[in-house]
Amino acid sequence: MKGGPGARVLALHLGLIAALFAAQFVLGAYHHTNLARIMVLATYAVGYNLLLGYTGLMSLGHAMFFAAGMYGAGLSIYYLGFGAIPGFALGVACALGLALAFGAFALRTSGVSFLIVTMMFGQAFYLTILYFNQVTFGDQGFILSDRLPAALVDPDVKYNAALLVFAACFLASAFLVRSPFGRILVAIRENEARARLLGYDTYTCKLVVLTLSGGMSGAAGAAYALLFSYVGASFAAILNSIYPLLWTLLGGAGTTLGPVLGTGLMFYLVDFTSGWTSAYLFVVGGALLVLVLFFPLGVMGTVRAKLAPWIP
Amino acid sequence: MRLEISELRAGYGRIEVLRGIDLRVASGSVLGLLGRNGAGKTTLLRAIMGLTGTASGSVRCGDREIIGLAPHRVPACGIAYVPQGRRLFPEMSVEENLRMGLFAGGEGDPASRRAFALDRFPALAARLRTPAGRLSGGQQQMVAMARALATGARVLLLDEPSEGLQPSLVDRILETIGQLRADGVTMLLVEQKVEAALRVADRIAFIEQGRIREHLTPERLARDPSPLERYVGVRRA
Repeated sequence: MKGGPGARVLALHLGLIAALFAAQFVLGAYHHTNLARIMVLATYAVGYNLLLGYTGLMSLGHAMFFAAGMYGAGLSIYYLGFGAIPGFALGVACALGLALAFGAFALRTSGVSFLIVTMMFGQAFYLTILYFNQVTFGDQGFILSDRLPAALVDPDVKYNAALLVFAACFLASAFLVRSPFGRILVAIRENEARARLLGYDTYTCKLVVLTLSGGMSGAAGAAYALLFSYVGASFAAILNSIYPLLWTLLGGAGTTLGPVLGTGLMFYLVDFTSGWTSAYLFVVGGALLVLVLFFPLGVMGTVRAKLAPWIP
Repeated sequence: MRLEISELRAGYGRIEVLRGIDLRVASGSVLGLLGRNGAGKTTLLRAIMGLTGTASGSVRCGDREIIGLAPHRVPACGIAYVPQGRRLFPEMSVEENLRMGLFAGGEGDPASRRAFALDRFPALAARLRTPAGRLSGGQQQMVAMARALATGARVLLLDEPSEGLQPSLVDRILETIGQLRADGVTMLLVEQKVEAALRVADRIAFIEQGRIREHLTPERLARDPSPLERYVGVRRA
C-alpha cells in the first residue's frame, strides 16, 4: 500500500479499526455486546465478500464453513478439553480443510451450477449435523460457558477478542484485494476466459480464494462459539448462508468496507424492527427493496462510484 | 520466434472445423489469413490457444509444442491472443488491464515490457486511469494489443483488429503492426478487410472449409488477384 491512494486506503482501514476500539469506551452495555456480535458476523461477511464481491462466485453454502469453524472449536473444547486458542485454531483448520476439499470438487462447475452445488453441500452438512445429534446435540445445540476460561465471560475481553479476529480478517482482505492476486480475482470476475488466455490458472486462483473465504467464515464461526458460548445446528442452515449474501449486497459487494457496513445496518434493522412487530422480516424486506432501488451497487459501492473511486 | 502448424485438426464436439492445417509463419513476419465466414479462421486461432476441446496435429511456437497444453499454459510459450471484440476487463483502468498482462509473468522484466507496450501505443499514456470500458473502439483495440505485448509475447494472434474501426484508426493499427514486425514480433493476422491484410502481411494464406488452399505473397496477388475472388469473393481490377 504505497503512494497517495495506498496511504489513504491504509488510513481508512486502520481508522475503522481504531474507531471500533474506541467505541467500547463510550457505548452502553447493550450496544457494546451488539457491536462485538456484529464484528464476528462482519468477519463472516468479509470472507464471503472475497468470493462474491471480488471473484464473482455466489455461494449459498457458506454456512457450512461457518459451522465447520464453530463445531471444530466447540466439539474440541466440549469433548477433548481443548483451551480457547487451540479450539479456535482447530475450528479455523476444519473450515480451511473443508473449503479446500469442497472447492476442489465444486469449482469444476460455474455460474448457476456452482450456486446449486454450494447449496446442496451446505444442506448436506446441515443434515449431517442433525443426523449425528448424539454428538452434536443437533438443533438444540450445546453451551460452552462452563468449559471456557472465566476471562471470556468478561464483556471487554469478548469485545476485544472479536475486534482482534475482525481486524485480522479485515486487513488481510484489504491487503489481498489490492495485491496482484486480488487484481487477478477481479479479472476472473469480469471475464474468466480472458484471464485464462492471459496465462492465469483461474481454477487454482478460485480454489485459493474459496479456501481463504471458507477459512475466514470458519474463524467467524469459531469466534462465535467461544465468545457467545453456544454451538447449534441453526448456524449451518441455509438462512445463515443467505445472511452474508444480504449483508454483502447491502453494504456493497466488491468493496472492503461494504460487508462490514451491511452487517451493521442489517443487524440494527432487524434489532429495531423486531422490537415493534413480530413480522419484522416484512419490514426488513421493504427496507432492502428501497436500498436496492436507490443503491444498486450497495451503500459503499455507490459511495465509491460517486464520491471516492480510490476505495478498494 | 516462428510459428509452425502441421496437420492441425480441431473442431467443436463431433464437428471437425479444421481438417489438416499446415502453416509456417517466419520469425518477425506477418501472415494474413483470409477466408469467408465459417471457413475456420477464428477456430484456427482458438485451436492454437487450446480453446477448442480436442485438437490433433502439431503447433510449435519456437521450439515448444503447444498442442495439448491447457489454455492458461499457452501464453507461457510466448504467444498471445487478441480476440475479436477486444475482450478487455471493462471496469478496470487501462493501467490495470496492462498490469494483468504484466502479472502473467512472461519473459523480460515487467518494467521493460510495460515500457515497450506503451511505446508502441503512446496514445494510451494519457488514458492510464480511464476505465477500459469507457474508451473508444480504437483505443480499446490498442489496449488489447498492448496488454498482449505486456505478457512478453513474441507471437501475436490477431483476430480482426480493424473490426468496427474508422479508417484513420485502422491506419494507426496497421502502422503499429508494421512497427511490431520491425521489432521482430511474429503475427498471424485474421482479417475480413482484405485491403488491410494486404497492406501489412508478408504472405497471405487462404482458408476454405478448414484447409489452407493457397499460400502466396501480396505481390503475386497483385499480379493475379483471382484467389481473392475464389476464396473471399472480392473482385479487384
